[in-house]
Amino acid sequence: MTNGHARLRKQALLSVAVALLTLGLGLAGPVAAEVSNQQCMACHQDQGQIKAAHRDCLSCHVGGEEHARSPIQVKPAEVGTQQCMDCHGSDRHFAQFAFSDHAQAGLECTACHGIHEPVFENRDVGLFRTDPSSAQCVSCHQDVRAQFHMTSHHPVIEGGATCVGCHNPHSSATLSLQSRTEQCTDCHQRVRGPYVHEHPAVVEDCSNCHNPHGSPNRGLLVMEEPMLCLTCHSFANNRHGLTGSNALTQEALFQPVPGSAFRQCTSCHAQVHGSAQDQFLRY
Amino acid sequence: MNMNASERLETGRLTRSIRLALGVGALALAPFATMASENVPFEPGTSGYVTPKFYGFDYFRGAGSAFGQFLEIYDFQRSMLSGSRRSGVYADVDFGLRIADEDRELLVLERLSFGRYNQRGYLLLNNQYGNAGAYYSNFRTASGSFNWLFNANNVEGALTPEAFFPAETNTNSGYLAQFNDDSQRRRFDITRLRYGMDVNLDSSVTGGLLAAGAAIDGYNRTGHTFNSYVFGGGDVREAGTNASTPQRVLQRWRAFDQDVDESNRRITLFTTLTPRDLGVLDYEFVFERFSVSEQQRVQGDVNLVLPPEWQFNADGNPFRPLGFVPDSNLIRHSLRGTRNFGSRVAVAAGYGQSVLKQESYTNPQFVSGFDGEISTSNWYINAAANLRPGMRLSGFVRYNDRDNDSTFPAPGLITPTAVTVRVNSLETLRYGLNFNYRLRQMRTSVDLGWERVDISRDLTYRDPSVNRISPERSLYDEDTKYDEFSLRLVSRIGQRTTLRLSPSIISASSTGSITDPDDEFRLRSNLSHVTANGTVVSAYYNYSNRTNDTLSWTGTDGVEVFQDYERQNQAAGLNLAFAISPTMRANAGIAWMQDFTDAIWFASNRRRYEAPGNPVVFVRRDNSKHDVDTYVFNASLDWTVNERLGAQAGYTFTRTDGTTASGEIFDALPVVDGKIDTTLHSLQLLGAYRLSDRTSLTGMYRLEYFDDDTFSDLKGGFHSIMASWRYQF
Repeated sequence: MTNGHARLRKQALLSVAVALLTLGLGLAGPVAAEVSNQQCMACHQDQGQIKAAHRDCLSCHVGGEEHARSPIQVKPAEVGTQQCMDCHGSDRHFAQFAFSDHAQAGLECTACHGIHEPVFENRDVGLFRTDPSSAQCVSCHQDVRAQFHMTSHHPVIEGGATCVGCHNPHSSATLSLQSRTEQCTDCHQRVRGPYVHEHPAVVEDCSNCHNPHGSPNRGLLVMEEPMLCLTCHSFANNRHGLTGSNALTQEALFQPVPGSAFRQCTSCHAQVHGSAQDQFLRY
Repeated sequence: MNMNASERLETGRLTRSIRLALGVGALALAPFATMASENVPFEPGTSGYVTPKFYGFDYFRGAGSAFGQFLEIYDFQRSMLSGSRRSGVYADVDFGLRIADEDRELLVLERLSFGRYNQRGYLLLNNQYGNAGAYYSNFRTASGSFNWLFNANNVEGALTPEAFFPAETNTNSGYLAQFNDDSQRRRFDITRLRYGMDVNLDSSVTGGLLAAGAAIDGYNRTGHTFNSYVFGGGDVREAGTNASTPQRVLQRWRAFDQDVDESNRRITLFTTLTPRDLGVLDYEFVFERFSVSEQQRVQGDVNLVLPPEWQFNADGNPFRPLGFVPDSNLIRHSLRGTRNFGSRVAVAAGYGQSVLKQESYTNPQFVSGFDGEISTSNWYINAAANLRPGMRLSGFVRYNDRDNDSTFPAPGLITPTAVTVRVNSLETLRYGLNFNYRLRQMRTSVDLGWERVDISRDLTYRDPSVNRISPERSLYDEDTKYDEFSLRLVSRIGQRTTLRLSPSIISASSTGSITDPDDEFRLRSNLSHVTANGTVVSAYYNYSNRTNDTLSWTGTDGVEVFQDYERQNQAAGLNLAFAISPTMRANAGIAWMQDFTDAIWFASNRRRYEAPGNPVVFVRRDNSKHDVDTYVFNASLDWTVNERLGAQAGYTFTRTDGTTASGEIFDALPVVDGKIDTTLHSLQLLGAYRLSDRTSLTGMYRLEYFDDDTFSDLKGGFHSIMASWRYQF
């Protein structure tokens, strides 16, 4: 109990420290100036729009007034995240975008979202089944696209799953209110239990055993059986050895091992995610 | 918050150049064009299309017409006329409708099909008060067929008759001599039908103060999967006499056809408050019901398939389950808040709780009074401050707690004398700081980061007075603590070249699991260049190496042996997007990925939980290495032949080669399990011809071929042709 209180105090102090540090270091900043716009389309007739609400040019283009007065000398600023957030910042999906992985990497909203024209159009026939947003994701995340071509993979290229089904592009791990295992069981409820006998590796993190993007091994396993299992479990001679001997002689300790015992641990320990009955996860 | 306006401008231009070069061509014909609003310029009015499609397909070679094919895992087909899964024809239709006025898209409806069991669709409705939507998708996979092909009766060397013979008395591993496949099925497939709908009230209705909404999501998952199990040593006996003869061992290892019929329904309610200048406060409530309708098998059912001379042991509990999957309810709610203090400081915080309750029980669970429940609580605080132009400091704290509140002990199921460890709770606390500095003149952004991970486990190892797994005989410990130090560099090298480099190192003071890093080095790098004519070249190299040699087993002889785990992943790739001519663009990419793991294989004379009442010693048998390389090449061509005709071609080559183990384990494994040697070719050819302003024809040919040099039954190919006529209005 004492440790628990100390831990809670430590967490609370940490939270306050981080908040105070950032609050204390920050200073009150300027408020973005309001601008108006009347003349844009006289010159920019060719600029299309994707969203109806985006037809007021000056709501996004900071410096548009000056540009309208001196079109050659003054260029309006490129639309950045701040301009998007002026309208969309109160949307629950984008409110915490400033802390997202994409924002931390320096990406603006316009890196993915078009205003005048589509930022991305899928013209790769190899992705003809892929959901458009996922095709857009892998156009930058080429390493992940390669993983989706591995022998075992989530069917993203095939259109059976999507990147945003697992990843929120406007968020990050530091903004998550779920553990990784909970994220997986958002779709894979069948293996969420509750179980009488849990497998600690599953409780900890599904990615201990699975690579969700792709793997050369069946079942998205990061490594094939038996080595995947034998990194944490010893091999009990008296149940898996060829003679089943539990003797301590060199001959017994190093007895031959049947390939059948090695090849698929989960052929016998089939309830590897957890069991309602058996502590050995066999049924 | 990372960049000033001029840097944003440059980055935006560069990003757009890359995007345009990669994807947006000048083709007037767009065979994959959808109504997805971000892909289509806004235009008031009504528009839409209808596209009837006709398919023909043929699977050739492969494991035979009665078996599944590897290619069916991701592309399941069935003839509409004959029902054949090998060859046939079927029809489908795509359609879309968009209605928009000057202010908004009032309605967007679309259905798209990509195969016999691969469709999706959605509906969007908008008005001045809010919006509503609905979606569905349908996808079938035959991965169970693949698993069946790998079952012990199909793989040479997967049975070990000598484990039972000649002594015929080995009841411990003798069951490995015979695998009893009771499934009566060779082909397994599962379909997942997802659907959902939502209604959202726009905040403008309440003067910008409040938005609210509700959503219903769900899925049905139906089909069959291949399931196996092993009985305990005494669970099968000779019929009539109930005698314990050695031959009963051969009946222990079995498999059956597991029906899958499950559904999940989720209701989400949310409300977002945006009081003027006070930030954003969002509350979400989720109720989820997971129901299982399939037959839940019990061990006594084995009497239906056992040979006449055998039966389930009358002394055992015939109601013990075989792969029981419970119904369950999940309740989750969360509160998130965001506040900006001027343009310099931003704070985001969140708190959430969830409770997962088991709602259906096996007979033994019911008898023992078992109640299944898992609860979690999570919170985070993120804060960031712009210290001065070009300097940003951010920090976070994130906490996750998972408590196993299920009944413990539950007599007959799990007791203090059971052998395994119970994870009562798992607490994870992460916190860190990141300092970002922009070197404007060098057009470079540098991030220095530190993160601390502190995992605390409350574990119950059983009563030490009885035989059980004890902490010293487990590679599992209560604490994991490590620090990660990272650097992120984003630099514009010249006008059109960007370098991203992110190395990080992890060092642990304690690890509680082998997969926790004791030491780790990671590197992610990317270099991209856009030429003046729009050619994009990008290359990446990712590397990670994780080791852990801190956890050990100690035998009853006092000898301590340490596991020595190393996992290394590398990935490198080169991608090119370029214009061959004003009407022809091409993309090509090549990638290499390495999965490498090295760990020690330990054997023990007995199971670990047989100590301390029996001597248990550990011996190091061998090192074993999992080392597999994968190579992927993909290329595509997009050609506007003329105003009426367009063509596209794509080819993907995937080669995987390596061994899943080495040394003694590799030598003992059947060839199909120890070695991976596969090649997958995938070719698509597409032509689209515009007949008139409103109509067009599209034809597509696909060829896929999977080659497996270690398991010839998996070889197989697939042809498909598709013809469609599109009418748009």
